Amino acid sequence: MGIENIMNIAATGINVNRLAIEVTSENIANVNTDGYSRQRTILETGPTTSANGFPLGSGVKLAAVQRSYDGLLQLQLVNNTSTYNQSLSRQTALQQLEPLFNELTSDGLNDAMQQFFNAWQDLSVNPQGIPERQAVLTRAQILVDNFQQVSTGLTDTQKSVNDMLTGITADISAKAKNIASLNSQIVQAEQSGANANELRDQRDLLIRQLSEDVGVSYYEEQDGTVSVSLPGGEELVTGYLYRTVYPSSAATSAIMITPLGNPPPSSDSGTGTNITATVGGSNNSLGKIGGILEVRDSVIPGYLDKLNELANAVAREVNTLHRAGYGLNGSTGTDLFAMSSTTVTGTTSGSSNVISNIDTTGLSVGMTVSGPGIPAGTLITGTPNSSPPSAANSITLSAATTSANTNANYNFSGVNSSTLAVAITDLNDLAASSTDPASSGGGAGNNENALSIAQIWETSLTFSSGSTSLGGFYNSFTSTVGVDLQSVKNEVSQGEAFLRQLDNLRESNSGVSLDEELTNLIKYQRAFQGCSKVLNTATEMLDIVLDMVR
Amino acid sequence: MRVTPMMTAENALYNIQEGRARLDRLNEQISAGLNILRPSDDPITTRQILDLQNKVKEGDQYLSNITKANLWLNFTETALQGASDVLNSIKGVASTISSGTTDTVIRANSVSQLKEMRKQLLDMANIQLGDQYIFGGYKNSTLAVAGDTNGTAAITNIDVTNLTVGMEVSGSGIPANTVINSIGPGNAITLNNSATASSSGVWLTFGPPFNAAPFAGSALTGDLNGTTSITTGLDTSTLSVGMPVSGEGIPTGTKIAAIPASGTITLDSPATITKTGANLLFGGNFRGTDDQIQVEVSRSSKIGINVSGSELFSGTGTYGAVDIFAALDGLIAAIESNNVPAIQLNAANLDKGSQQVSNARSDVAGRMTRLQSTEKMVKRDQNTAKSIISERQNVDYAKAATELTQQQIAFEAALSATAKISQLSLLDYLK
Repeated sequence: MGIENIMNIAATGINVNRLAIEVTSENIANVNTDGYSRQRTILETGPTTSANGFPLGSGVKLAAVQRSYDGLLQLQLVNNTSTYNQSLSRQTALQQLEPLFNELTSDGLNDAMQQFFNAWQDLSVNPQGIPERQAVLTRAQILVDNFQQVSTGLTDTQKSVNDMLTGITADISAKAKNIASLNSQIVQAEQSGANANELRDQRDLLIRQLSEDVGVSYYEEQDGTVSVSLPGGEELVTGYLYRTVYPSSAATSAIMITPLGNPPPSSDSGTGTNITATVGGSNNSLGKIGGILEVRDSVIPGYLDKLNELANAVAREVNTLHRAGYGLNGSTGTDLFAMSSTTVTGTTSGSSNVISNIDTTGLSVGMTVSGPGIPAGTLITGTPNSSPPSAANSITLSAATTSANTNANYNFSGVNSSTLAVAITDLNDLAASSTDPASSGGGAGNNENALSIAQIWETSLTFSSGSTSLGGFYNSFTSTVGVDLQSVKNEVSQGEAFLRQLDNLRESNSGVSLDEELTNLIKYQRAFQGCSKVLNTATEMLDIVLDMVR
Repeated sequence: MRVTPMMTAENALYNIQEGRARLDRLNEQISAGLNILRPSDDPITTRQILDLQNKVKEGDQYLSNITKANLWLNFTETALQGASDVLNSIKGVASTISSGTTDTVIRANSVSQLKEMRKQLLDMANIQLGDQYIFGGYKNSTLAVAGDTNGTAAITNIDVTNLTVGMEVSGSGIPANTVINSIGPGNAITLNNSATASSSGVWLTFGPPFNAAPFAGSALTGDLNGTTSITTGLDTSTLSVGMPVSGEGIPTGTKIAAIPASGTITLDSPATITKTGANLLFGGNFRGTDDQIQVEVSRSSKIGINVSGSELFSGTGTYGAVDIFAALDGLIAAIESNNVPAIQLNAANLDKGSQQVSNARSDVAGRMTRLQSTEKMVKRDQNTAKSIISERQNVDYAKAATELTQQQIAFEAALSATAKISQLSLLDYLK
């Protein structure tokens, strides 16, 4: 033991405290860096030696530079970010749809329907009046326009959310690639004994960002790499390998995924797998992609079904009565709204409400069905959620079939809200009369049919959701849209609050506190000064000893 | 728990955002004056409000129907009053001559007076609201009939019942300004122009002026020659097949069988005398329908807005059983031939006819009363719906203003606290 020893101890102190100040300065510099976890310098005493029979330390040693990190918190953040973003993307889409149904502040489809039937009321008061007839045709056209407008609004939103899939899948792929490259950097850094704290922070942040797009599960391998899987179990990243997610080119895009690779095979190679059914998590409950798929494949088709059911009810009820009536020119059997009819083959099992193996293209809820084993007046009550329509779909009916038939021909007749049209151009064809005006008991003043048609508005009709009037059905439809949006708004604000709480916890654990770092700075500075003083003292001591020798 | 400046900043931002959102919502409500601006604000109340709005609009339509129904009934009432007045005058003439007179001048005066009154009564029976004959039932305006065109002036396979010579014809393949030149024989008419097309079952519109008057008829002179044919001196434009004919030398119940050409008619039974310039009365028969024109005046409640001309003038319904025109024509013929029992019989019948019109008037008055009470009911329903809507939907400004002030104070406090706290730093105290 000697003066050199003092100098050695002081030297470790100077070194280690300088390093601690370096770490502190790194913390201060990154106070606003996203995803940065504060780092702490862990110090321990140097190995002890024995001098004069007493154990004595050999100074201070740097044990580790540790990042404050809570794995459980990261996991919760990842899961809740997925749920929150699912709600958020649904909210965005539904908010685009809400104005289509907002009749509180402006007139829309409900008003158009009522005005149409009011025009029939006016015609019933003056059945031969040309202005009244013109008004009915104009109101019918406005009604058709309104149906088309709502229908177009819904399909436009469906298209625009579908278009968003391109950006989201590209983002997922880019993040997967970055995670894979960080995986290999971390392995390299840690194998050479270096500290990869910042790289790990970046990787954690990427996983959190990835969870905004899509639900993910992840775990850390023993070699320090992270494996990331999609909700369907497909490994998105494993080691330095990753996959590309991309939308198919179909009008309603399927979500495809390539095999693993670095780089993975291109999306044109035809090696992709369709993961549309699973990528959004169960019931499409996770991530932006889940929200978008839910809106595209379930929410909007549901609304379109309701709209078509309404359009079919209006067209069917009006046409049935209109066909029975007579125009001013004696015309009869004419439709006011153009009906389309198609024949499609399908299979029924008898005493069930389902026709399976049927091409659902062009079919809409509310169309009337006829064919072998179908009771009269049967309507379509549901088309399948799977989109796009394909040949092997099935539909549900309002009544059970009475016989089993394989690949039988079924006739469907009705309208689609997107292509609804007025079939009459000649004002005289409007059937206000219940008898031929030229017949002996008839006359142009006969208003019975106009009155019957006007009264459809007050009549309770059978819908898949129960019996209600046309206005009542549409109002409860509006209310459904309101409830959907209201509940998603609640989900968003709850998710936001919860996520904020988690963020606060993460920040509390890993965030940089300037006050704390400044205090540490002074602490390490003083220690540095102290060690320097010791070195000074040791130098002076050595000088004295050397003077003694001289 | 450690609190870092980042946390403080994030929380401050979040709270300021929340405060702003609340202020924005209040501002939106106050400036629009509405509690609920979109369905998602309150879906259940939205549904209620929309249902009630439908009710209000429905009420508007019923009120508009009631106004139109009132117009019809008022107009009918006016016509009925006119008919009553004319019938009273007829009764006056009949009473002065009830025991007959051999003075031909007095009889001729009475006949010409009665003929004038017959014309007035016909006018009342044919009164029009717009272009509709209010006593015509469903047959109350223009007429469309199908026929076959063959490129000539002849149209075949056409129902000629309601057609008269001189009527305007329009339809596909018919040139402009075409009128009927002659009617019959059979189901055929001749036009003054040739049709440009040849097709069967073409819809032709007849009129204006379409002579669909429910009681068309007139007093004309014609030459009788003891056969079914009346040849000259007739203005056939007001006559139609099936019209009753009465006058000197014409058997009771005679009708027009055909109108072969302008100025010529064929009867269904021959005249009993030959006379040039014989006085003839045509028409007075009902050609409309008995239907009630129903109008909806409140949910599922309908009211008839017209009175059937045949029930009123021909006595085919509940008002009475007198054919007023037949009685009048009978009276005129009886006075012409000084047949006292017939004069008294027809005068008594006309008395009953007057009662018949009174009965119709009280029916119309009853319906007008019903309309009034329905109108009140519809308005009351509307008011109830409107007041519920405004209760749900209209902003309580006092409450909203108070909330706004509260939110404003809270927001200002949040801003001020944020400004103060973000200033604090240890750096200020380190030298």
